[in-house]
Amino acid sequence: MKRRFASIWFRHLIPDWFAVRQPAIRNTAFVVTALSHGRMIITAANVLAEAEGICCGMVLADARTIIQDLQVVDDQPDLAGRLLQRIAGWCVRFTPIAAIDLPDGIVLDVTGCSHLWGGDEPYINDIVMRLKSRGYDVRIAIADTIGTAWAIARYGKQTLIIEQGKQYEALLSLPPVALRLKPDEIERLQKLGLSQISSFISMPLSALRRRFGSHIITRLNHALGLEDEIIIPIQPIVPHCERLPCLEPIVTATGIQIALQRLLEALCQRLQQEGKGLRIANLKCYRVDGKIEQVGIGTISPSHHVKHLFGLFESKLTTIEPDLGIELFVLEAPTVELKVAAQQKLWETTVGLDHVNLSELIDRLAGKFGADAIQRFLPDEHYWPERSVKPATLLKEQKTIEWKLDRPRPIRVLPTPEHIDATAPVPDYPPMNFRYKGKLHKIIKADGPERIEQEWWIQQGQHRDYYAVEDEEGCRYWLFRSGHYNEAYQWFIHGFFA
Amino acid sequence: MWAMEEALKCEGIAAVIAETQEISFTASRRFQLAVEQSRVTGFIIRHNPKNMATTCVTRWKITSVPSESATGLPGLGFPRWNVSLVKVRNGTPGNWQLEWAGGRFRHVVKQSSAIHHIQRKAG
Repeated sequence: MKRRFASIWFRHLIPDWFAVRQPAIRNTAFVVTALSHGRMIITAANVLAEAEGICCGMVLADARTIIQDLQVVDDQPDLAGRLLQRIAGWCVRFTPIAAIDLPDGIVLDVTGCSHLWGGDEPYINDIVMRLKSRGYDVRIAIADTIGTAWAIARYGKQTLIIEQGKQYEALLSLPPVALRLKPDEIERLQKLGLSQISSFISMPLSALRRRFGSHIITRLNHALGLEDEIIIPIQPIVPHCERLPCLEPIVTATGIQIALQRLLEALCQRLQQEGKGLRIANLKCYRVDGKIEQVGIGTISPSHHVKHLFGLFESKLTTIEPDLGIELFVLEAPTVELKVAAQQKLWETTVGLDHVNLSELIDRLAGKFGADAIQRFLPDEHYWPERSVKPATLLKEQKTIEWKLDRPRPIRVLPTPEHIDATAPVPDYPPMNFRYKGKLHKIIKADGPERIEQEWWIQQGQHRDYYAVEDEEGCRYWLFRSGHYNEAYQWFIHGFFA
Repeated sequence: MWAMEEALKCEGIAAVIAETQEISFTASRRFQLAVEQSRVTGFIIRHNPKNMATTCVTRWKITSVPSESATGLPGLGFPRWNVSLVKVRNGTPGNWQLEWAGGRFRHVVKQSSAIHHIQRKAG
């Protein structure tokens, strides 16, 4: 399929933006200025100021002599880039591939898009109208190449839509500036009297290269489509992505659900054919007023199960605010993994980590309470009790070492040991009694000590002498003394036995 | 509670353990219906519960009791519990003393009082 590109040219990008933000200066001549080498230089001027002959690069003082009551607005660094980025993001409703073209344009790859609007003309009319309603003065041209579209948008005199393969004819009457050349190349062309592209386009390439360098040939090839030009889309193209434009803006929850269901069915069918499952999915809702509402889900194992994924989204759909209505739904799966289709069984007999239902349950719980709420622990190679377990990062992660069962360990360990008041005979007998949470426990029986040294390669500090003790009620505790008895030492409680 | 119910409905799980102070009769009834459907075993561990009117298949009351070493040596003996089956559907309640010794439970003939509660629901 022949590719088609649209180039949007914002004639007064920054003044238009300021005019919308500050309605007071809309109908007066104003300029945007920035300080450069101690002088106020005009970086942009609005239509009224331009009509009086003020242009970019002028010094503010000079402009003031032309218009006495010229309004001045301070420029912001990289304002154009940020504005274009935002507008290009908004343009994603017209085509998935939009790129910014500094300083004052946006390039859209409209291959196979415009027929959805009924042709190129209604397509660009729609974009122009919508941007105009936001206060931007734009010109848009569509052509087979970015170079030609760029040239026609800025310098084209007649039609803005160049038919397929007609770039050559379209370029002939344009000035050389339309080829996006460097200033010194343009100057040299003008010196030689080559004021139109037609006057040098038919020259032999070797002659052109000798006189003007290879850049002009690259640019000519870009415009004519002999050489591909690369654009960087503002959003990376997600290979697994489904779009659902709506004829009427959607405002109801049921409408959103139906849209989601359709998108999921289409996406999951595609994933199933490719033998893949998604790990992350995002639903983006493009609202009529230009805002983008987004909800995302994650799964712990690749899945292409429509019902399950719909269930995950369902609880989050309430956070979407349709406001005036949603005109486009996009479902993306940025992370996709291979999924080995499980063999169908008549009876599900296995219970454990491999079970499909389990991973779906985890997804549901994670969706409701957050991924941190679910943890699975594996043994870790440490003596220090707090470090002897580690959370598993993957569902199917296997333990690398066996659980240590040789020493008595409590069924419940406090995350950090708590300080207790204990009475103990010296030198290293277990305590006779201790006070924990205001209750005095009298110790009847005790085992220990079991000394656990600091892991000096991780941290410095006192060793611990652990005792397993039992009080008069039969409750069993895990206590330790930090440090030697003849130095400063403290007693702590660290766990409860069953 | 929501997580517990979701988990109980999910086939492919061996058992679900929840720890809570109180559970309403309605909630326990919902759990019971869920496990009857999915055949998952659910345990609810309750510490000093007030509301005893719950639906369940069995209700256990487990308390720890002082251990005793066989020969009267100093130090801790094998951990020992008093386990009483307060309620069981189609069965007779009972009271036992159990000891964890040599990697398995051993029955000890003794008597004692109650602090902890374990209610058990079996599907």
